[in-house]
Amino acid sequence: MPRTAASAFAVTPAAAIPKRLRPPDSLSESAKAEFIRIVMAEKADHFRKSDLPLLCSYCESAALIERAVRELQQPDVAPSPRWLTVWEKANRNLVALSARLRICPQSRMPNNPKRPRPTSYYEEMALQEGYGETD
Amino acid sequence: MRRIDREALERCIEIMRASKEPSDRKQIERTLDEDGWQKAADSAVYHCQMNALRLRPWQSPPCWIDSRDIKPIITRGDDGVTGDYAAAKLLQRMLAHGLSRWEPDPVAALAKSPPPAHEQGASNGRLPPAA
Repeated sequence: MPRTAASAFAVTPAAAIPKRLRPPDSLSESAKAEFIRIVMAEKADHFRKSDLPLLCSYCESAALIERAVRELQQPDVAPSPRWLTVWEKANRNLVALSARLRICPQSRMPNNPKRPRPTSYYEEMALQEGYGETD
Repeated sequence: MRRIDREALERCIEIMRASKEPSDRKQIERTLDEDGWQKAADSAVYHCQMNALRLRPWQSPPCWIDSRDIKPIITRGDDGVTGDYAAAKLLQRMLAHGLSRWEPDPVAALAKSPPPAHEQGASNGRLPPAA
């Protein structure tokens, strides 16, 4: 008796799990850590290969911010204007890229925000006249 | 049928004929052709009042309330679902303003109509209180 064809089974095989982006070797250690954190925090199909340069730039900015903050918080040392500039520029870059990469809270909002549904005039009457809810 | 009722129903049919929705226009013409003016007018007023009052599909528009049922419905109170209580209250106000039960947009019609005589006296305070 021949084996039952795979197509005859009611259960269809699960779709292959999409591959996550891998950090390129050129990334610094702290940027790589940020890269992995971001990629793992998002859905597997959130980023595509074409997003790699933007994501790398985002991660390097995050790493720079971390470094600049460390430098600026050195005890007994006056904050260096150089690191302050680095911090400011990297922060600006981070904010811009977070929106482009759709990894900020604003990006999680639906494109079509929920419009308030039109209220029945009877609900308005109930409020005006002070009786129970109609809906 | 009173003249104001006939006029109101005519306006309902006209509103349906001028609707932006092609299906509404088609439906009113078909009802007029196949079922006659009265049926078309009944369907048009229901449609117009439901739209104008933004009612939920399960709520009754004022045109569905018989004027003889106004008092019993109001006495029964609001059930919070069907909207009969609000429809009866609205219809009561419409009739007090001398409006037809078949007004396509009851709220707009109420806003345009002068207040009934007993409300005029109470609101402007020009009339002396009854002895």
